[in-house]
Amino acid sequence: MKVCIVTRNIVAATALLGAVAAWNSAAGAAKLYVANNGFDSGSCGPIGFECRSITGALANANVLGGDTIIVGPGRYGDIDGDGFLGGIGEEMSGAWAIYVSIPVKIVSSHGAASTIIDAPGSFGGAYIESGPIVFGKASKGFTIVNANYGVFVSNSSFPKVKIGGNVILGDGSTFGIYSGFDGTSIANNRVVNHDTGIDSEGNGNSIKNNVATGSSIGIYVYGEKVKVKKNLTILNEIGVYIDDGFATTNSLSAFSGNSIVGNLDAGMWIEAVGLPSGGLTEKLKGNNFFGNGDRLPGPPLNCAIITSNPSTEPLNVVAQNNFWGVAAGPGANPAYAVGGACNLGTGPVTIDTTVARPTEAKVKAKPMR
Amino acid sequence: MKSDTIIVLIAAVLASALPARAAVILDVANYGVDSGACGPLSAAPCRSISQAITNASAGDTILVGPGRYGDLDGNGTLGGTGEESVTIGMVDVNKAVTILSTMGASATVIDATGFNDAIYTNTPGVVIGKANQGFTIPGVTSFGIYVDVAATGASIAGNFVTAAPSSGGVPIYLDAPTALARDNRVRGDQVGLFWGGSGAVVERNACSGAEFGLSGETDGATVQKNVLVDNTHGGGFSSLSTAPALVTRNLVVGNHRTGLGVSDSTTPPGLTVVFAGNNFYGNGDYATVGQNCGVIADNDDVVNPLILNADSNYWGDAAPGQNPADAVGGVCNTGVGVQNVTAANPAAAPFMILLKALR
Repeated sequence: MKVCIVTRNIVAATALLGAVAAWNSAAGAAKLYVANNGFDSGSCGPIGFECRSITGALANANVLGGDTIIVGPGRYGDIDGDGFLGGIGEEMSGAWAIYVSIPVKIVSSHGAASTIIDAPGSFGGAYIESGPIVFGKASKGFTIVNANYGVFVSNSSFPKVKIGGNVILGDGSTFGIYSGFDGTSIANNRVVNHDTGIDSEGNGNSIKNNVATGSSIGIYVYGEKVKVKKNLTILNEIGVYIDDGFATTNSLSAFSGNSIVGNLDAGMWIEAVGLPSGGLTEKLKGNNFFGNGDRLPGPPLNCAIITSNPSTEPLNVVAQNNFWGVAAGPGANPAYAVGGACNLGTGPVTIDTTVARPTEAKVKAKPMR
Repeated sequence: MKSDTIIVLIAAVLASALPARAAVILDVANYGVDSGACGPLSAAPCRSISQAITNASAGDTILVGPGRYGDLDGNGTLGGTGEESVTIGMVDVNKAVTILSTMGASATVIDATGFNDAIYTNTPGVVIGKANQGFTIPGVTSFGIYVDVAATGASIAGNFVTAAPSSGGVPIYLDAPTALARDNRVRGDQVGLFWGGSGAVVERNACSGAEFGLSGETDGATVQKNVLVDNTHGGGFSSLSTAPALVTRNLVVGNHRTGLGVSDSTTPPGLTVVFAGNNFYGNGDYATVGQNCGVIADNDDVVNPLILNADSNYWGDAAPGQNPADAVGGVCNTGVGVQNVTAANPAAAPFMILLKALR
């Protein structure tokens, strides 16, 4: 029996060396695996020698980039439930469960519903500080629970960060996804019950196919030339908040195909502090705006869009081909309103809704695992 | 025979001679207006699901558009304009109807914050949601969807239901015989998904965040292809008089204390429970109480043994045991009675268990 055990160990060790060699030889294109039955070590990652933590796999990934970390189903983070990170098999890097500072792709094999990252309340979920980086994608993302920030993309000069396919559950005071990064892609995520579901503060970001629900603000946009397409915001106090404060050009380069429905106080809020000379024009096309602003007391009832322009420069909103609840366009119940009582500022505001979509557009949120 | 009696008889004969009423589709939308006629294609949509139920007949289908339903003005009471009614549940399904969303759970929210059951039914044959046509019910403090014992054959599918933390809330509670729960996502507090009726089918659900992800107390259940992760205990069967029909292809990983268990205080003679073809690993990692148990047997009957056949499952390694494997038997047998547990023929690799992608 002893001989058998020794032989088996030699075979296993040989397999490990072979796997590591194969992994290292494919420079820049290795796959590293993480599993709930893995062990962290300086050589973990190949199939059969999976790491226990994503942090362990990151430590073994090529710092020059190109590797993919594939995370199996189960639970990661504070696995012993003591409220802290850093124990055996647990994630941890500083104040974050996962700190990504090399170009890498991190995806789950089974999707968000099967792959949970538990970051105790004083910790963040994932901190992204490099690029290009992929953190989850459609049907291959993560569920992040208990984190103060689900995913935080730092303000730096690295390009091409993609955050996708994640479900981020908060407690009402948290942030789902934050990006102060230019050119970040935020797609196919579900952010639930936060202070702010998606907080985009970079220029040229793309926010697409996300679902934001149960937050004070579903999607917050501060920055220039941001694309916001095919998202669903529902059950937030404010579905989408466009912050034109001190903008030098339009915040939005596209706002289309979104469904802004069933938000408690208003569908959208456009705040225009400090507009540039000549003002700004934001264009909203092909969206659903209905079922918003039914909650008392709140701001004025029944507002699809609240505009607030305290500056002397004009805020122009071109909102054509949207559906407002009835074919005739915005108005009183059962339609939803713009302008009039929904315009709170003292500055000049024009809202062009002369062409309305006669029926509701299809909600574009994609199915996800 | 009095003339009014004759009239009633004639009416009854005529009614029986008429063709059966065709099933009707009724629409509900956030831009609808409730009335006694709302819902059918020929009329405007209703604003509330409750009004559509009032206007429907058994066999009808109610299609609910995207948006928010419930206590619309947030004043803590129901029954206002366009709001759901307040009876036993916020939405009381008292007819054998099918209620589906048009755009899926993520786009269709029943906001029951601060109220008891969001959806209640005691009617046989009710259907609430299906894959990609379900509802989101967030933050329940009591029951999200409650299926009473009288609602035989109720089907609950495609819903995303969460309980408020520390509330004792139960997202889905099925007490009816032959009930079906399929393709739901629940994040629970006390229990994620409970069934108490015989012959239940519980499949392709994802349950997390609860004391027990799944919990069943009755006989002949089929429990398959579910994902149980990040619960204190992945799931449990208790108070059985006969065995589950099938427990297979479940993914039971990353639960804090135990994976899947059977617990009985009065075990029927010869009761044999079979778990086969499941994945059990990464369970029991909690520092103070974890015993690495993928499967637990808890028989407190000192007369009759509990026979638990856990053959042909995947345990995280070549055989059940300590990390990286999950354990079975030994310290995982916790009752004061006899537990005869086998775990032969362990699978060499995990079974591939992928949930359906859902809206």
